[in-house]
Amino acid sequence: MDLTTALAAIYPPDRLLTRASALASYESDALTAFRTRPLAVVLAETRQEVIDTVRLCHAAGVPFVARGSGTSLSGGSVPLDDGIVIALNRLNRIVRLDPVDRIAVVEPGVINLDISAAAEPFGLYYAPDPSSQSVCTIGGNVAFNSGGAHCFRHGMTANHVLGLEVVLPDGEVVRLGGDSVEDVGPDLAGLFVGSEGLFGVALEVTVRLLPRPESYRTVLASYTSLQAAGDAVTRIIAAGLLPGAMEIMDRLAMDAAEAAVHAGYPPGAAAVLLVELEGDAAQAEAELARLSAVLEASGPSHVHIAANAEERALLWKGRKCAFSAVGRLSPDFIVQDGVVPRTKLGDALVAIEQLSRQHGVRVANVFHAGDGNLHPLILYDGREPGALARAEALATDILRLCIRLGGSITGEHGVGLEKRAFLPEMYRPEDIAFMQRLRESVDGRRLANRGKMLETPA
Amino acid sequence: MTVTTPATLDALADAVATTAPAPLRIAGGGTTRPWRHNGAPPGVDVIALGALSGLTAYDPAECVVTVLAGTPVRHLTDTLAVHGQYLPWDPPIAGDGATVGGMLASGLSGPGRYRYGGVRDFVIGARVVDGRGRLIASGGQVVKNAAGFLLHHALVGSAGRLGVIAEVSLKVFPRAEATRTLVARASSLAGALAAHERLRLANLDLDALDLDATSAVVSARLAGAADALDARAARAARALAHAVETLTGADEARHWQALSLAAWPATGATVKVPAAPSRLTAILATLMPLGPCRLSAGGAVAFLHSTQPLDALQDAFAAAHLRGAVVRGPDAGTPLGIRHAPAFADRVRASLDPDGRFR
Ligand SMILES: Cc1cc2nc3c(=O)[nH]c(=O)nc-3n(C[C@H](O)[C@H](O)[C@H](O)COP(=O)(O)OP(=O)(O)OC[C@H]3O[C@@H](n4cnc5c(N)ncnc54)[C@H](O)[C@@H]3O)c2cc1C
Repeated sequence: MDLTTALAAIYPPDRLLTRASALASYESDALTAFRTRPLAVVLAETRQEVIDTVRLCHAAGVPFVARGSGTSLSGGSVPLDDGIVIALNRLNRIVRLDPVDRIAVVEPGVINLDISAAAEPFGLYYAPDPSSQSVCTIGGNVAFNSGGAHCFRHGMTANHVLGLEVVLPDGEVVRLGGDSVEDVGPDLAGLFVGSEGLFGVALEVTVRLLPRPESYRTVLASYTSLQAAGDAVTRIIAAGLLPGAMEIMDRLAMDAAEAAVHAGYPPGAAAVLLVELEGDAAQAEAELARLSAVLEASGPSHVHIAANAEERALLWKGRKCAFSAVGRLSPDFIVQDGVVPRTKLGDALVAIEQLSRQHGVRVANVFHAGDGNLHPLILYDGREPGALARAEALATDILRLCIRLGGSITGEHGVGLEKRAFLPEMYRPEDIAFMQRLRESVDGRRLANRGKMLETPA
Repeated sequence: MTVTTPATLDALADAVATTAPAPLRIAGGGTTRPWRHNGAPPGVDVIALGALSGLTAYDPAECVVTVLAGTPVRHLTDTLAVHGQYLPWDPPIAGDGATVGGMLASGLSGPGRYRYGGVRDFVIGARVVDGRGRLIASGGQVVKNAAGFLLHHALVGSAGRLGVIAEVSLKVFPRAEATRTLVARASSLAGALAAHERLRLANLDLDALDLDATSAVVSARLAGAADALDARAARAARALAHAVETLTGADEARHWQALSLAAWPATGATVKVPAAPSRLTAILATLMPLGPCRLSAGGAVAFLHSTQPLDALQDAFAAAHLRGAVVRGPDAGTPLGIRHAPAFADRVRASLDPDGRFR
């Protein structure tokens, strides 16, 4: 019996897609440069369906890829032409939300922001906040160890996932971790996070919820140079402050955000730094006094403290929409994701500016400054001959810059298809060889998300 | 039995390779397993990490430190303190030569884990030597990184069974300007649990929240700006609704030291039990007959010290459907009670230690 026939025994026709027209929207993810039509797509509604599908794929030797919302920016959810897509969007129940133990047990297709929405009545929230949080799924977040704006203080997805139920690539089902922030034995849930779908499919995810901070104090400081904004971040850390978030945007990114939401960013500034303190009200107030002194000494052209929740929301709205807003400045753009040690932010920004001039390609900078995570938006017009190639060459140079400065080729978007060639530039051959061995040991037939992360492009 | 004491990462890798395929034990400071070098079973070679010591890289402005596995935890915390920084999870076993590698391998966090997270939340990279003597790096020296498998996460709690942890990179935080501890002595365990719960739910940004079950004492620590502490302590005292003793300075340090795991004897078994606030009464009902016990991190974890035989502990844990592990004592590393299906763990181990040398 061939695989599609076997799948038809599990799925009704409207949940087993095989016709070209139905498959089209599963050919790529948010990185549209990669596109492949899969053999079939299954729209799973239960865990058992996912388990059965994986077992059938294993028996037939057919590769499969899990898919949440397809917002991957590294080609992570792109299928193979002889492979199956297991779509998890309908596996989206919040199984349990326990306000006493402050955990949520969710299916993998639950949207990131829906967890916080469900937790809100109890004064709790789910901390990791990728800009795509209103659409991306927790399963995709687990696969990529997704981040957001609060990683220096709060960590990434791995720090908020306590337990997982997983179907391994051969169909065996295991539990990793538990429902407490403390576990015994090796932290295997922490190892599964960030494995980009290569260790199998997460069927259930237990996450911790945090109490909403009693108070936020949000400050916007503007500067006449990007470098000065970067230096201010170093001063803030040196002063012993631990803000929940520190974000920087350059002029181009601000222009885009202004055009989209009128966030009220100062018109003359070359860069703005958004700093947010959080916590107990008395503590946040005391920190605000210290922060103001540090910012005053950092030579800003202007400092504005959000007076109320509305002003705070507006400042953040501008920042969160910056990616999509850049679409207003340019018909096409590449979102790059790289990390440098925070103290090298200034060097990195100067170098990126030089590279941008050298390649004749515009770059808008938006980044998570607290953790050195750069997001240069590389603008180009795909209709112009050679423009894409120039933009890609610049994107590559920026990654090599991150490696040279002791950072990483990805802070949160993952390796996927896009950065396979760079993983060996960041790690030594021995390190890559181990990753291969681990992958072989978990998935001897290389069925789970074949072609990603560890396989160098032909 | 041979004891090797390599002084460089390459020498460590060599030592593992040349003793193959003999079973290996890794001796850090010997603070969690008190057999040190001479107590290893016959036929087992020992690699002692004492000479693999020191900070490889530390830029305080970066809030990242890279340190060799044999470095005493105390040396690391002292160095950080000079720059106003600290390990926010309060490694509970820091004296007596406890090492950074052992801190990771035991996966233990102290009271400070309540606020910012445990050791698992601060490990950003590591180098490890596998069972064939290969030096493998994962992660890096930046606080945000999504490239490649996060092997360093699996080393937390690995109890020396996956490989030899050789070097660790950690995120560190600035130490708070001031701290203050409130101590309430309840007249019953139920009263202590109720006070503990009120504090936990009061959104006070506590730095630590522990409960000594045997003495019904609740301890809550506040940390932050000195000028905000009076107001914050007053709120915490109201939530406690008990007579409160306020501790600062050396008294405060002594109080937390006395509460630490390290205050229990290294003989017997110190047991860690992942817990949850809603299950505390049931968990304590199982643990208290076995020995003195404490709750830490707002009830997220319970610790027990027991002199009962291992079999008795196994039975008690299995009967109560509890999951735990001996974390200190001759049986350190032994899981207790219910276990997860081992398929994933086995496959991870096979990739690092195909010959089963790290037992
Ligand atoms: C506008 C925009 C802004 C973004 N901003 C951020 C940001 O700030 N921070 C950030 O980190 N990312 C960001 N991203 C990237 C992306 O949203 C994240 O990577 C997200 O986690 C992907 O979730 P998804 O549900 O769309 O997953 P998909 O794209 O469907 O899948 C991503 C990967 O996860 C795997 N996968 C999915 N579900 C499972 C499962 N249950 N088990 C195992 N593997 C699974 C897939 O196979 C694939 O490899 C952004 C993307 C966009 C388009």
